[in-house]
Amino acid sequence: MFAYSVRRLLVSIPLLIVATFLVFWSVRTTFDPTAKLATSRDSARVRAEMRERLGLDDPIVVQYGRWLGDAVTGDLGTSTRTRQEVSSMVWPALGNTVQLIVWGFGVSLVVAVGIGVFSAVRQYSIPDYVFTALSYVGLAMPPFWFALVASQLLGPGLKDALGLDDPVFYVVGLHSDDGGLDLDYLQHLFLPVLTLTVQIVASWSRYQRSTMLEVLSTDYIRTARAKGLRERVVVGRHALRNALVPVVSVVAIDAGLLFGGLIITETIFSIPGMGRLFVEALTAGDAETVLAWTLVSAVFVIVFNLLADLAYGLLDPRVRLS
Amino acid sequence: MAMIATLGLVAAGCGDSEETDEGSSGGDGTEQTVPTGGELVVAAEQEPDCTDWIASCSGSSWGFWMMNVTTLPRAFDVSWDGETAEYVPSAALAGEPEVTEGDQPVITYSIDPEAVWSDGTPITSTDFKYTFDQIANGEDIYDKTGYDKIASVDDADPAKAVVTLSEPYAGWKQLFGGGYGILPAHLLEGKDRAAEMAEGYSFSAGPWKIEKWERGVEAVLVPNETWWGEAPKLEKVTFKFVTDTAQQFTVLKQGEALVGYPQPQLDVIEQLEGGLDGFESAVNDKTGNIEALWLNNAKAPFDSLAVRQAVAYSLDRDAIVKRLFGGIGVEQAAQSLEPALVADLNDNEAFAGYTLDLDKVTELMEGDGWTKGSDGIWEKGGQKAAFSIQSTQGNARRELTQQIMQEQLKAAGFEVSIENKPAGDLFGQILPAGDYQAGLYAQVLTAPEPGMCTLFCDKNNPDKNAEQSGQNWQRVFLPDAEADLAAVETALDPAERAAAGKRAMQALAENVVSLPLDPLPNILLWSDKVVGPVQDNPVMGPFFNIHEWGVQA
Repeated sequence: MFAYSVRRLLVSIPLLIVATFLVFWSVRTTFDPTAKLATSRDSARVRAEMRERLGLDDPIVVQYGRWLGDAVTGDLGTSTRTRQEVSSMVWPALGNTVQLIVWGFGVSLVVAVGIGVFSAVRQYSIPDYVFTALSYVGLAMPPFWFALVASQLLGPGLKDALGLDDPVFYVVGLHSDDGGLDLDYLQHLFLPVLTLTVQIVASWSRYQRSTMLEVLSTDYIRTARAKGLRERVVVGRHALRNALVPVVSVVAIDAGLLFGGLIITETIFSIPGMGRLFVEALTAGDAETVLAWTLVSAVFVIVFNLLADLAYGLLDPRVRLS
Repeated sequence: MAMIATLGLVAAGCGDSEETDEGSSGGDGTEQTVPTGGELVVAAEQEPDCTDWIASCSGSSWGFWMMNVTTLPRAFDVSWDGETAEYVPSAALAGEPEVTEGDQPVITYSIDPEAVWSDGTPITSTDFKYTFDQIANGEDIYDKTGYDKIASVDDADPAKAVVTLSEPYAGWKQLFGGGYGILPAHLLEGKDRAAEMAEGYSFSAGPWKIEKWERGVEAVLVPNETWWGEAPKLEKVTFKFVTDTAQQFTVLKQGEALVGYPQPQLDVIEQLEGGLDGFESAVNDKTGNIEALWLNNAKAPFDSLAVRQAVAYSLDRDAIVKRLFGGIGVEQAAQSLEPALVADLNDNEAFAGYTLDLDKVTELMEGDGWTKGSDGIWEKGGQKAAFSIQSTQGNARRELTQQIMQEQLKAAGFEVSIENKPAGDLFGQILPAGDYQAGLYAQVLTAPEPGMCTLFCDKNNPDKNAEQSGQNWQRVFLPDAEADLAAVETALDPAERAAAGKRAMQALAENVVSLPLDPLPNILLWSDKVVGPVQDNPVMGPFFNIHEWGVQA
């Protein structure tokens, strides 16, 4: 398994180089970082100075080579937009996105697996139909729309309904002050996590239900029941473990992708995460930041895909990685 | 929006009010007690890329309003009485500077002996000299205009900064202020200014100092205890960055923020029409903004005066403005290509004669050799009277404006297409290169200095200078008006300057070099818990006097 993991990671290096080059090329040829200076009366001078400072007149390959040379030494460059070290922008943003993902995925996993198992065990019952209908609603509902409606209803709507002076759930940021893991933090976290959870639960619970149904109809489950095992043991110990395998891979792949940012959730709830960082950097032609974002996001996708593969082996001993 | 980069001149909180805790007026003009203490949270739509105000990473209106105006000293503030903007010496000066006119005017600024930085060090003429040196000779400076006309700054007397200009410069009151301010030499000399200031700074010579700036989250101001003017009433002001317009209203409704200053987008106006309980609003249509249909005078069909005039008579501009801003009471089209901020320096009614008149359109077009085709569109030499209107992508208000104009122009025999681009492409490449026929966007003045030479003088036509610089993106050349346009930039006598401005604007209107639409009103919203002299200032923004505001429990 170790050798397999190392081999997979080594194969990923050329992939990262190609991905970052394509991103660099597309950002440099699409967005001009000097464009915002066009409104200065001094635009010719200040834009020319910036072009020279950033080496924008060099061939793309030369510019990319400069970035790559620095990146392998751990220097992700300086943002052309904010003049900050890019690494000092990426890590805080990643921290905020990770908070959303950890809470969102934690809640979603519990709820989605619960709903999926329940719906499969009680197939064609009224609760199964209700959960099925709700999941379709969740899948069909645009997240930005849900976020705005939830903000209205659970923000000022709930506050007014309860006649409170202070909000029950906040709609901006992750904390009121410097914060910690306290009630204020949870009041800020609730709506963005709810927005994230509704989408994910709708999707994962369907996977869980269908894989659970498949497993429940297999011979070994029939055998387990025939041996007189209690239904809770059959479902919990024998069926669920196998039914989790495809769901785990979906969870791992989704997690890897989402480390790139939850653009809608972060924008609507004013959370400075990876998604907002990407959008702001892209529109400003800040290639260095976009590249760092690409690098970090790609690493997470690769690592989580690898984790998904490794999880197969752990959950299903029949799977051997080689 | 594009900014006519006249340097914004703003107040560092003009502390000349003698109001006491028991006597300040409310935003609605009524007498209200302004309590002391407490925190005010403002919903801020944007944040700056950096706080090194003179560098190219700066240039953010919100950054200027929140952190520059409130922390840095400057030579002049701009007062606003609702109709007229006027330069007034700031609290950093002992009075009006002395000006010796001539080929090389000399300006002597006398510094208020009470004026000190937050570490107690007096503000001196060396700060003026350092600021000039950084801007005129520094690298990566956003705009050196004006400072390139300074020959020297004499700091021999710490209490008097003697500035000698290399030539007459009408906009001299913008110097050592505007979007920049004055920088502390004793703290920055010999250091990397950009590095010291980019991420916020601890020094101040305004009513407030920056306690914290957490990117994407908030900027926090606390009182500057060495401020020599009226002390801030509030203990803290927090600007929370809420970039989503719809969420701004949610934030206000549930009291997470008590003040908002949203851009006048359609959804904002709809929200205001629906009412916002517990909030007061001020809509200011006398702003530094002018939204217009900017015409490329060098490109067909707008290289023809008759076509430009015909287009002007094809549009019912009042109807457009009423549709866009009628919900907040703004119904009259602008009649000048300068914003209302400089109304006294140009003819503010120059375009008033251009109202919807289809007979006039026919007369002008036929007189220019055009005939109407079977599809109702004018034709000449096999070419249709067709053009595109370009604007910024993703702006619903501008899209609606384009659609209304498209309908009105079609009825008059013009075929109009809509072509919208990312703002960076439009302002960074398309307009400077002249690769457009008509553009819909706003020009913004950040100081009460007319921008008409910047926009219409031939020397600022990018096609006509070696550096391809300048903002005469309309490619306007009116030989008879050139002298008046230039005088607006150089005349030191206000009366002479105003007369030249009026003549120049009349010439621009006669030639319909572009067509003004609306003033892009400012909208200020504040909770009725907020008391004090709340008002919008089109130059300094709404927070210039936030030290006089308070919050009721």
